[in-house]
This record gives sequence, C-alpha cells and structure tokens, in this order.
Amino acid sequence: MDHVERTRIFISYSHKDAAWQARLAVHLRPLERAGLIDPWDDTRIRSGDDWRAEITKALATARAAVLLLSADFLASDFIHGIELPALLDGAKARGLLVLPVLVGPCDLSLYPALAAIQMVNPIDRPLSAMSKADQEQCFVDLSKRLGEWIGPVRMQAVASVSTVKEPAMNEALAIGGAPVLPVAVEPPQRPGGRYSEAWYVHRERPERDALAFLGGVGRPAFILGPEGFGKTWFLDHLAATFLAREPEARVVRISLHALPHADRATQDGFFHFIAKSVVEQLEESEERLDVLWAQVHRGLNDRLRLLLRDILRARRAPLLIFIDHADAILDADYRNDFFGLLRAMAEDVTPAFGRLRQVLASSSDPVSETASAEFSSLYNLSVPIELDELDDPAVALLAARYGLAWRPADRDALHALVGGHPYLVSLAMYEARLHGTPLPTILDPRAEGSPFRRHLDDLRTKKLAPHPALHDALRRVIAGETTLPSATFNRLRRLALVKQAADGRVHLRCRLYEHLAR
Amino acid sequence: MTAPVPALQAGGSLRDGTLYVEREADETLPAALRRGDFCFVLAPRQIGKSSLRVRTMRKLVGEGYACAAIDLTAVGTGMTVEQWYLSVLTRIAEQLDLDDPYAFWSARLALTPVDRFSRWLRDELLPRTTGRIVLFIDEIDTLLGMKDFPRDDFFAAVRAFYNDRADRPDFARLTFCLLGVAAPGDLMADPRRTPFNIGTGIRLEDFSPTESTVFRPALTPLPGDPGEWLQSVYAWTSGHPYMTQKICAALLESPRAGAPSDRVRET
Repeated sequence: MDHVERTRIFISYSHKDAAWQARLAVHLRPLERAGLIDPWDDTRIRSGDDWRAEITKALATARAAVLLLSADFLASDFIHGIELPALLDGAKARGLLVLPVLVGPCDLSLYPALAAIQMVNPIDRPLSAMSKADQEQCFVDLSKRLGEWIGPVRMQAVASVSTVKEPAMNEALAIGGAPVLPVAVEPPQRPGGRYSEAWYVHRERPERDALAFLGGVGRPAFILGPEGFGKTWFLDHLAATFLAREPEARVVRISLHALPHADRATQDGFFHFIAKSVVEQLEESEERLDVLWAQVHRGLNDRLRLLLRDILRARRAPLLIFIDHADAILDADYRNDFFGLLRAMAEDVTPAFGRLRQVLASSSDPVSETASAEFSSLYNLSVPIELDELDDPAVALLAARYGLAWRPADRDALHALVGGHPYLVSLAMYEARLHGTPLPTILDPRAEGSPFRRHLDDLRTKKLAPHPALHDALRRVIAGETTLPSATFNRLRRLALVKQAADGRVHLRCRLYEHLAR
Repeated sequence: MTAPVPALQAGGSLRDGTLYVEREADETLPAALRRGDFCFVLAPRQIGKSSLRVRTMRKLVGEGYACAAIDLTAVGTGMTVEQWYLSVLTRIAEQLDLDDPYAFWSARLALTPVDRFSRWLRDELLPRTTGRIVLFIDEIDTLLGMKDFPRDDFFAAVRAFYNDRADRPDFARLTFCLLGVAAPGDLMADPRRTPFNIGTGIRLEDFSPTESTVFRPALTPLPGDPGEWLQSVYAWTSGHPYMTQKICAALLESPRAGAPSDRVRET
C-alpha cells in the first residue's frame, strides 16, 4: 500500500496520560498494519528535530484526530494554545474528523466547540471510572469507527492530491503538506470490466444506506441508476463489505443478464435458473432441488419458495440475494409471479425468511414501471438507493489511479462533455492511460482516437437504430424540447441519455449526446 | 423525556412500532370470527385490510385460536388449477405446523383439485388439530386475474364447510375470512352457491377526523401547531389511510417551514 492512501491520524494527549496513549496505539495497530491509517503522536519526534515544526506539520496533514481528554490535557499550554485550536479549525474548515475520548473527569464548559463534538464514551463516564473491560471496549469502538470512516476518506485523500487546499490555519501554523504525485494502480481498469476493490470508487451515502438496510429486517433494497452508473460494482462492494462484517453470512449473486435464452423463455426455465443459481452458489446439495422440480403437481413459485425456506431454516446467519438487472424480465409473462414471490418472502415474518435480505438492481424506475404491478409493489416496500453521477473528487481520484496528471481544468473540460457519467469518465481515462491519447483528441468524438466515437456508434446501431421512434424523441430533446411521454423518457433515461431536472424538465444527460442528432 | 414518536408507514401491512389507527372493524371482525361467522372484508386498495388482518390474527392467536393467512398474490397466478390449490394447502400446513400435503395430494390424483382441497381440510387439518381454526384468504381478487379458474367451485367449497356444520360438528371449528378489493358479485355470479349471502361483510372505512387525531403526536416535530397540520392533511386525503400515512411521512422527512396547507399540497 503506498503512502498516499494512508490517512494520518493525529493523537493529541497530555504526557501525563501517556499510559492511555500507549493503550490506544495498541488498538490502532491493526488498522495501521493494514496500511489504512498513519497514527501520529509526538513520540515520533526524534531528538534534534524541531519538535514544534514537526507537530505543526503533522497537524496540517492529519485527516482525523483522537483527543485524550483529561484535566491534564486541558492544563497543557501547548495543547490549549496550538494543538486544540488547530484541530478545531481543521474540523470546521476542512472536515477533519475529531474523536474525543474522555480519559479522566474534566470541565469542558470553557470549550463549547469541543463539548459540541460527540464523545466516543459518554461524558459522565470517563475511562478512569470504567472497568478494564469497558475501557478496552471503548478503544475497540473507537477503532471500529475509524475503520468505518476510513473507506470513503481514502478515496478523498487520493482525490485531493491534485487539488490540495491549504488547511485553513493561521499563518504561523500553515506549512502545507508536501505535494504527492498520483500513484497509478496496476493494471489499468478497463471500463465495464470485472470488479476490483482497488478501482472501486466509494459512494458514501448510498453505501451507508445499503449497509444500514442489510443490518435490519428484510425489506428489499433497490439500487437504481442508469446503465453504466456502477450498479454492479456497487453490489460487489456491498457484498464484500457485508461479508467482512458478518463472515457467517452468505451472498448469492444472480445477474439476469446471465440468464440463458432458453431459460428466459418459460416460467419453468426461469424459476429453475434462479433455484439452480442459489443451490450452486451456496454449494448446497442438488437433491432437494431435483426432488422439488420433480413434484409436478406443485406450482413453480412453491418449488422455489420451499427450496429457499429449507435452505434458510438450516442456516443461522443472514442470506443475501442480490438480483442484478432485475428489470431484464419486465416483459416476461411470469414477471408478476416472480416479483410477487419476492414480495411475499420479504413480508414473511417467520424466522427463516427473516434471515433473507434481497437487493435488486435496476435501470428502470419501478415507480414508472406500469408493466409489472408486482415490481412496483415490491418497490413500495423497499429502501430505494440511487447511484448518481461522480463528483469532482471522485473523478480526481480515478485520474490519480489511472496515473494521469490531470489538472482541474482538464477535469472541467471532461465534465463539460460527459458530466460525471461514471462509464464515460472511465472510458476517457482508460484511453488516455493506455494509448497516451491527448485529452483534446479524446474529447473530440469525430477524432479517430476518441473512445467516444465508438461509444456513440454503438449507441446508434445497437440501442437507437432498432427503435426509430426512440431516436426521434432523443432528437427532439437535442433540439431543445423539454417534455417527453413518460414511457419514452424512461427508456432514454435507462440508457443514461436523458435526465430530469428538479423542475421536471427533460434534458440531455450530457453534451456528448448532441452528436446523436444524426 | 418525551415519548418516542411512532414511525409512519404507507403500503404493506404495518410493521411493529408504526402508527396504527384503531377503527370500528378492529372490533367487529374479531367478534364475528369468534362467533364462527364466515367473514369477508371487501374494501378499496390501500385502506388497511392487511393491517386489519394482521391485528385480528394477533388477537385471536392470543386467545388460543390457530390462524393461517394466505396471501393469494404470493401464491401467484401462473399455474394450473391443481397447483394453485396445492399451494394454498402447502401454506396452510406450513403455518399450522402440519405435514407437507404433497403425499396426500399425489395419492388422490383421481379426485378433482377442489375435492382434494376439501378432503385435506376434512381428513388432515381437522383431525390433526384441536381447538378453533381461522383461515384468512387475502387478496382474493387475484382470482379474477386467472383466466379459466373455476372460482365458483372454490367459493362453493368454502360455503360447504359452513353449511355442513349441522351434520359435521367438527366443521364448526373451522372459520374462513376472505379479504380483497372486488365486489361479491364480481367474484361469484351464482346466488345459490355463493357464500357471500350467508357471511358477514365487514366494512372498512377511511379514517374519520376523530380517528385521524392519532397522527397528531407524530406531527409534533413539524414547526407550528400539529393540529393545523393534521387538518391540512385531512383536507387533502379525506382520511384515506395510505395517503395519510404517506403524506405525513413525507412532511416529516423534510420539515421545512411554510404554511401547512401549502406544504401538504406540494408534498
């Protein structure tokens, strides 16, 4: 792990509390060893160093701070005069995470800014008043919180490399972090390729929502976003994160794009495909599946439900079923039976089905999906989680991973053409990395070396040419029309060609698609 | 310390901890089922049938009744008549902890599906249980969407369990409750075989202004007078349960300032 991705944690404490600091260091060691954090405390200063300058430098480069609060802490002139103001300023100006641990009783009434920050332990229970076990638990909670926070922050840490802002501190303290060059991740990720944790771009809010959902009782979660917005990777990441937390849990991933044509054609084929996927991925015996499928007097819903019920009864841990491209069967005549079954299982309150969590990913908006009443009513129960365009820090992060020394102006130019469309952004960067194609060429879709040229050709021939009415509707939007029939709008939105503004007007997703006029 | 504000929920049967409005039907339905009446609740969508069913079941189970609830949308429609009946029985057996009916079923293939259905209730369900049983069949209008499904046979079978109580005293232990949105006449045309003219229909209405006041405490996080908020919501929904829950939840999600009547309209 390179040093760019390690997040500096400043440990602020009084030397009289050195024993607590030492214990904290032990608890942070696993995160440190994993290369996730770089805890900094003043024991790092070697004799001969200008200790004041070292501390100021550490303060300026830290992204989080742990404060060990006590009467001694507040009594220290250095802490009172320099460390604490710098950390509180950092919290306000650049989102530095401050985690105060109350190690001994002290009066915070003169420090309203500090008192306003949530303590790791309750304000009336300093560590010194706790049993040894509770003290340890408190440090465990602290390192857990740091670990959970670190995921999204690692991304920003790298992203901010090319846009380093001077920490807002007073002149005497400001020394600025040394600029760090972007370190490319190898091999470069092909857009649309297989999931790789090293290339995943965190989406803080959707991830938090999805994990909160997976920790609760079984309403389905819907991951919504147009094609190319990273739903599949989001599911991969969700599975990995959940399994890291609950190693006993199991995840079944079913992509309806992988559904063989023959299976898709009939209800029997489809239900058997789902059943077989579950059995295979869980490495269950096929015997129960075969017995059930031989029971021809039973309906297919029953066969699939009983299979899942028996699997769930035999387990004690959560079972997650992820259905990617759930909207791929919206034109099949068994769609309502299938989504109705999912809904019934979600609403089933027996302990067995209580262990089941369903996550569906779809490019179609279930609200507007009139084709399937059960699809929409399943959605009505659900927690919708929308994946939006990438923001600038995320784009900067990707550029760093592709090893591109892009300036903010370069990202602005890309943004002007494709917005934050995740797939198109990666496409541009992959091309730049792989062939060294200059950005102006990439951004000119008529140029031979532009990856967008092929992308537009694909859209024209595969998605639009078979549906002339759809292409006409798109042309009208390009020409400035801002309303579309909802079915047409949904089809174009699914392809990420259009979007709707807050005022309800329909717009082209990004300027690149103006080239689809012809 | 203030009491926790109950959560709101629109759609689906209400989960625990969400706000529930007691209506007249919450008394009349359990009472009729205790009397052993064949009951039906036919009311518009999203007016709270499933929630009523869940609450009624909970009461009766507390009194020692064995209850099973079959949601016919969960049973599905893409199947043969035989598979449909077996599916209903499988779910009843599962909920009442009886053996899977598949062996019983496949040993009697010469009988019609509806006969096998009645036989299982008579020869398996009743002998293997003691005490009163209530079977709730929810979303019965699903049957309207099944072309060629002989609905009359099903309803006649249900009626028979009621009619034959005189000859078969143990039949009195079994009571049916049907729920759905259809009108009785749509479900079954033949007046001689229909159970709806011998059963008790339970009316389920929108919330009255008085019943709606249950929402008042939930609206206290909003700026201003919760009473005025409630009135504005009621003016808009006329007490429709789903819409009332939904609008209140939406208001609470973004508690911006603004006149209640305007905010309700925007929502």
